Formats: sequence, structure tokens, C-alpha cells
Amino acid sequence: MTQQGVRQIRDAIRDGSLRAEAAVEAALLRARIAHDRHAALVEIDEEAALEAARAVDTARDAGRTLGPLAGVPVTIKDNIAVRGWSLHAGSRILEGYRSPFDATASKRLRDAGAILLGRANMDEFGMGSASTSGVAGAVRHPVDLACVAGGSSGGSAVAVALGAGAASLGTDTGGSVRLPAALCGVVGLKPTYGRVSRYGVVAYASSLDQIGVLAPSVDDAATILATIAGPCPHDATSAQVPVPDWRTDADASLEGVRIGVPRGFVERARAADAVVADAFEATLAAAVASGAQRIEVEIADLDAAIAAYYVIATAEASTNLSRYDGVRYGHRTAVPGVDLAQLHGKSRSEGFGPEVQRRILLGTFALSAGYHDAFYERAARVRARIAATVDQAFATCDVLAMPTSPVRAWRHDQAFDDPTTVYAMDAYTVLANLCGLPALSLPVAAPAGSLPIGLQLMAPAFDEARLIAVGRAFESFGPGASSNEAGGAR
Amino acid sequence: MRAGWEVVIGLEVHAQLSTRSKLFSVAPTSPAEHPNEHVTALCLGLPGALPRLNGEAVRLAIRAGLGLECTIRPFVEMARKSYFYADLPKGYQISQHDLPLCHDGVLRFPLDDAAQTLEIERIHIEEDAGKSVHDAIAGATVIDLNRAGVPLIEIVSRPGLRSAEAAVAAFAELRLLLMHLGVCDGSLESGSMRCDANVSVRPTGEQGLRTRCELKNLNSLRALRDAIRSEASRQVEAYLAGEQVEQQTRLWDADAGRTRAMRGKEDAADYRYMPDPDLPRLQVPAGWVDAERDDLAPCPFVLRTMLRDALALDPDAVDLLLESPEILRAMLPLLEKDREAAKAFATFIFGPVAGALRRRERDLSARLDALSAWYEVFQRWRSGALSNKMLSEVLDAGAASTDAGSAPWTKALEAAGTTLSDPSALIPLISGLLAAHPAEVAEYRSGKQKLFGFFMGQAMRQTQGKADAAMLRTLLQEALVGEGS
Repeated sequence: MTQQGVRQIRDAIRDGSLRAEAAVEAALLRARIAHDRHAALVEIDEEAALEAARAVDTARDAGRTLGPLAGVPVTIKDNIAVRGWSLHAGSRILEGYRSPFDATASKRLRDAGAILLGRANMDEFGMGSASTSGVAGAVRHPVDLACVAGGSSGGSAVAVALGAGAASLGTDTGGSVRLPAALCGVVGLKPTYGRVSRYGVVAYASSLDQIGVLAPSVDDAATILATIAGPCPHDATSAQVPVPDWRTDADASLEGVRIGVPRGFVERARAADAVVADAFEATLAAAVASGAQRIEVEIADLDAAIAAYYVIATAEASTNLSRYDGVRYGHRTAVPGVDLAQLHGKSRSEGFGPEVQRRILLGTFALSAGYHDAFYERAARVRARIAATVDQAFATCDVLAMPTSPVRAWRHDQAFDDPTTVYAMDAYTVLANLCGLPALSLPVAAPAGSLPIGLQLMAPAFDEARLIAVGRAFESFGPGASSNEAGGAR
Repeated sequence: MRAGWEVVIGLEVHAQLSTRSKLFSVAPTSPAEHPNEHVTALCLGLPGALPRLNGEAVRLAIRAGLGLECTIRPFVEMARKSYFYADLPKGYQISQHDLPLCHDGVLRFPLDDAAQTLEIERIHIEEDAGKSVHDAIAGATVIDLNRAGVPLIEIVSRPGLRSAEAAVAAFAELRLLLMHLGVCDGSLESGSMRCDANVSVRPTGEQGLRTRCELKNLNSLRALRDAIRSEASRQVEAYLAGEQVEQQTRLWDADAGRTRAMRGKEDAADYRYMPDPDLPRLQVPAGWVDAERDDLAPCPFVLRTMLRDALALDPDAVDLLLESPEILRAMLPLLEKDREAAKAFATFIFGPVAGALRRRERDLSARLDALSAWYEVFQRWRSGALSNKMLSEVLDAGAASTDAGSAPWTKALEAAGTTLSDPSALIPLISGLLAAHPAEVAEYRSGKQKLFGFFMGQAMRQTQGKADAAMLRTLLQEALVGEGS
């Protein structure tokens, strides 16, 4: 599949070798495939996209200054508000709802000249690792329709993989940008918590949620991130930290870079999928051959991290999703003659899918009188302890590296009876959310015929520059690289 | 109260903070013309909307805390309090939980001319809910979210009150205090202040507290007093009948004159408090508490003593002044300089000025921005440059204007001109008057002193009420007495 990156398209439009309308038409062709065959997009705003593209062309013809992303087509996950668009977050409970305002990230993209193509499919409220629970149906893998795309930003990952837009905004609460990026063979960048405003994001777990970027390359992801990042007056958790020019750090080498690999993490992946562990080791070996240093580090128990994550995420979700009560907007039960409590109960039972209901119930339980301390308070303490061990690890290394996912994309018909098996897929990704750290998933070389495999890098808070620089260096061992030091034939 | 028993009362008071915008959004707090007019995405609980804490609300809450001699916590931590209700748009109220902004204070209040104290356990900041309107549309409940997100403080006292009268006195003083601090407008009618009371009873002398009931819907001082009395009797009767008192929330029914059970302990909601992850803990900026402390207005408890003892104002005037913190504040500098003048000015405002406004169906408190003009009118009148008749014309003209501020009153004052006090103009007038009424003059001189009023009236009429009364009186007396001696 041919892909065109964010900066390629932007530069081509600027120098006149590509009309924005042509770029958007090409993206729309692929968007229809993404919609019809992969259920990756739930709605395509074709007319508005073409109109916006023509406006870019007119502006260029008139010699006006173009925005930094002028004419670049992008898709937006269905839980990030775009003014006038439906905003369903994959849920029936939001049926009929249109957002009267833009998320800060959507607005900044549009103000930069980007063309918003449409809404990307997802797991309901971002609660899932496969993008199969959205009300619009299961997202299908870009390479193998029988397989899942990973979640919850699966629609975004597939759209990027198919070239339906040069990039996509996703959200990442426990790995929802990085996991589908890894499974679909694209780059997924989750910035530091607070780096991108959450204003306009349908909240799942507010202390963990963060908008991230899915794109064909690290550089593309960084370019989009530079546009959407920075302080926002509408979000009290938005960090008052200036955004550096990440592109000036483009010239990266691995010489002397200390890469921390948490003890036991690779073994854990090997137990689940040896191919993933092998691909990770081969890539690390290539990095060491390029001058990097591999260091073993200790990170707190992963099982405790998953447990803490699911208690905190579900507790916050149980209150964040309370507003969907059938009173003001969205789904309201059609059952006649109900009283207020029944109106709430029936509307919510009908509007939320089973996984969302499960998490609301778990979170409600974790916050209940008598259990609050044993679950929520304890999870908060575990979270703080994990953050401390990760901080400690960064005293001896520059970045952390680990597989993004212990497994590759699985088949839609593969049943998981126990939800905790699926929850364990997030083992490597929840760390960055619990600690608020920036993390990046990028595709690594995989054996011939294998579905994509991702490697995750993690950096200290607000050091996206380091993450991006190291990520760019790692791309040279990736599946698209001409040399094949990582060993995986392609 | 039945002999041998005592009632134990604690108060929970909600007061609306006098901010311009809501606690977490830019929506105004002022009264709206239409339902759901003063709302933002956050007030509606739309997906993606986020709260931002209003610093002014924090400042006012700190001020309330200082006025009640509380310890002020150096940070603000907001918490989500979860419950479902049709007029609670987010499905949780943003409040404070175990870390209230202010704690451990005291309210000083007068009771039967003695100083009493009530310990304050905590003051926390929270947002108001919306309003469910039943039967505005037949068979339906409609929701108005104009109030949703309006900033409140909840002041919780310890169970330190021992009578309904003490509860009323404490609440009334708390109301005045918040008004004087500029924290709350103190209006019970509009719901700016709401009071709940926790009531239990016990045999006199018993240590420890028995089961309490929370009384709601106490929207006047009278309701507070009557509800506590009624509830205390109900509980005593229950114990005397060998029954137990259940922990309940009870609603005061003023028409029936009794409390009714609303919900029991077993129905009490589990609010599932958690720190609100949308609002990181806010450090109270350095210097805020000190700035508020330096700027703290004198409390009504002190002012009352000063007005009553030092100024010897009668109790009604003291009460009126305490109800009008703005007037009192404007008058304080005057009080220090010239107590007699201050007292007279107070009487002037609550008498003629308030009267003129009342006749035009206007409210004194809504026109306080004309205070400086009133003082000017007052001084002119007091110096005799304005007669009583001229005064009432000036005040009526000012009160009749729809314009706010000093302008209407100063304009009326200019138009009124000054009194006729020049003797060279008044003496001929008096001579003419005496010549026209020889019989009355003779009667007066033979001892019918009451006729003096008749001459004053005639002279006033001839000057269209513009004669300087004091000067006229002197000259008239001289004329009447002089010619006879």
C-alpha cells in the first residue's frame, strides 16, 4: 500500500506539485474502503472535506500564507469532539448526539489548515483492546480482514494504514493509541499527560486519558503533535509547559543512548508469542550495534500495575459515564410510564454495551462505602509506587524499551472467556498512563508473512524530544528500512 | 420543651457566594430571564466539557472562613459526589470531601443580650444543582439548569445549640456576618441562604448524643424555630412512649406544623466520593489569606455593640443598619468623626429616603449607589438650606427616576434651589401677615400661644414652602412678641 506522510503532502501542496483537492480526493477514495470493508470509519464528511481542500487551493493561488498543515487530510477518533459532527464514542447511549463545540485538538488541527475527513471507529467509550465493541461494528485489520485491529483506537490505526488520511487523532487511556498502532503496523505516539488538552474528549478515565497521534512515521506523528500540543485554558490538567520544536531534534543517533529494558518483560511476551519476543530482541540488537547501550532495569510488578490500572480507570469511568442518564441528550428508553429511577436505569441498560456496563459496575464497587480504601485508595498507592520505580529506572537509562503488545493481532473468532486475559494485553502500555509518561509504539521488522509487531519506547515526562529522536533512529531498523539488520525478512 | 429534657442542635447552612460567574464555568450567576439561559456545555453535562475552578469563589470562601475564625487549608481539593437526579447534569456534584477548605472555627452570636458561641466544624466549597420544575407542563417535570454550577459554601456547625431560639439567633447572626463579609447577599427569599438543622434530644444531664434527625426545607427563621420545637417534642414523646428515634431526613411542613419523614438511614445514598481528576489540587496562592485577613470587614457582632452602646441608637435602627452593610460601611468614617451626624444620617436614610423610595415602589437596597448624593441632600437639609417641603420634593424626584446612581438626586437638589432665609425678604412678609390678621395677633398676645402654628403655616404657604423654618420662626417670634412689649 502506498502511504503519503504528513510533511510530504503538506510540502507538495505548498510547492504546488499537489493540489489539496487531489490529496483529499485520494484520501477519500481510501476512506471509503476503510469505511466499507474495514468498518474503520463510522462517518465521512466528504463535502466539507472537499470544500475545505478547495479553500486551501484558492488561498495558495491567491498567494496567501498557508497554515502549517494546510491540505493535510486527517481522521478523528469518534470520542474527540468536532463541532457539528456526531460524537458517539462508539456507544448507543450517545445516539443522535452532535457536539456543539470543537475539542481543542480538533480546533488546532483545523486552524492549522488540516482537512478533517471523518470519524474513526473505536471500542465503546475507549474500553477495549480490539475495537470490536463499538456500536458501528468490529474494525477489521488492514492486512487480514479476519483479524482485529487492536483497540480502542482501531479505526484510526486502520485508516492510517490504508492511507485514508495522513494521520489520525486517537485517545490513549491504557494503550489505546499504541496497541492498535502496533497491531496495524503504524506509529502511535502518546504524549505526556497534560501535553494535549483533553477539552472535548469524551472522558473515560480523566487521570489517564490523553490524546495521541497515529501516523505512518515518527516524524509525521511529531508534526501533528506539535500542532495540537500546548497549554489550554479550558483544561485544568493541561500542563503549562511550552512546546519545543521537535523537528530540530531530527538528527538523532543512538550512539551512547542508554536503553532500559525492564527485567522479565520480554520473557512475559515470549510466553505469549515467541515471534514478538524475537522481533524485539533482534531490534534491540540492531540498536546496540548502532552504538546504544542495553541496560536491565527493575520496574514494579506488572500484574500489580494492571490491577491498579483497572481499579482506577473503572472508578473514574463510573463517575465520568454518570452523565449519560437519558435525561438531556442521547438514548432514552422508549419504555412508557417509567419513573425517574427507571428512566435512568433502562436508558443506561439499553444504551451501554456489556463491557461498558461491566466497567461501570467494577468502578462503582471500587468506590463504594466499605470497599473504597481496599480498592481505590490502595490502587492509588500502588500507582504512586510504580511511578517511583519508573522514575528510578530513568536515573540509569535514557529511554525504556519493551514490546508494545505481548501478542500480534488475533482473529475475530478467537474467543476470550475471561476478560482478565484481554486486560493483560495492556500489560506494557498501562505503565505510561499510570505514570503520565510519553510513549511511542513503532513497527519493527517481522518475519515474512507475519502480521505487524510493535516496539514501545518510553521517556521521562515532557521529554517527547528524546522519545521522538530515539524513535526516528529505531525506524531505520523497521519494516520499511532497506537494510535488514533486525533479521526479520520481509 | 418538656421538663427534664434538652434539645441538641447543629446547623448545616448553604450560602451562595457572590461571584459573577459560576464555580466551574463562565456562565453568569445573575438571575436569568429564561430557563436554561445561563448555561455552558459544562452546566449541561455535555461530553468533553471540563471544569475550571473560579478563583473568586475560593477567595470568598476563605473570607467566610476567616470571618468564622477557621483554620484555612493551604490547598483546595475538589471531589466528586455521585448520585443520580434529573437536575444533576453530570451525575455527580463537584464538592469537597474529607479536606474542606476551612475547618475548626467559631460563630459568635447574641442571645438575650449575652454573647454565645457555636463551634464551626467545617466550611467547604461546592456547586449547586439545577432545578426540577414539576407541573409547569402538565404531567411532566422540566429541568432548569440556570442554577447548576452556582458556587456555594456549606457551613457545618458542631451540635452546640440547646434551644430553638439559640438556633434562630445563630443562623440570623451567621447570615449578617456573611452579608457584612461580602460573601453572600443573605437573601432567604431567593434561596441565597438555606438552612438544615440536625436535631436530637436527651434527658438533661445525659452525656453523649442520641440519634439525630436532619430537618430540611427551613427557608425562614420562623420555619427554623417552629420545626426544631416540633421535632424536639416528637422525639421526646417517642422516647417517653418507649420507642426509639430513627435516624432520618425529615421535611418541615409549615402548613401542618410538623416534620415528615423523607428518607431513613437505610435509604441514605452512598456518594462514592473520589478526588475529581479534572481538577488538580490547587495551592492557595501565597498572600491570599493574609490579603483577605487585612481586608476583613468588622463583624456585625462588634458593630452591634458599637452602634448600640457607643451611639445609643435604638435597637430598631441598629437592626436596620446591620441589614445594610453598604450603608454602614459608608457611614463608618462619618461615625468616627461625628457620631451625632452619623446617627442623624442613619435615621435620615431609613426614614425619609426609604419612605420616598417605598412610595415609588422601589427598594432602598437597590439604590445604595446614590449614597453620596443622599449625604449631600442630608447636609443641605440639616443646615436649613433645604426646607422639609423641599426635601420631600427632592427625595420624590430622585426616587421617581428610573436611573440609578447619584445623578437623579443631585439634579433634583439643584432644581430645588435654597430656602428663603434672608431676613430682609422675610420681615416685610411677616409684617404684612400680622397686619392682615389683627384679631389672631391680639388673641396670641393675650396668651393663645397655639396660634403660633397658624402664623408659621401662613408664612410657609406664601413662600411656597421655601422659607427657612428656623429663621422664619425666630423672626416671627420677634415680631409677635416685640410689638406687644
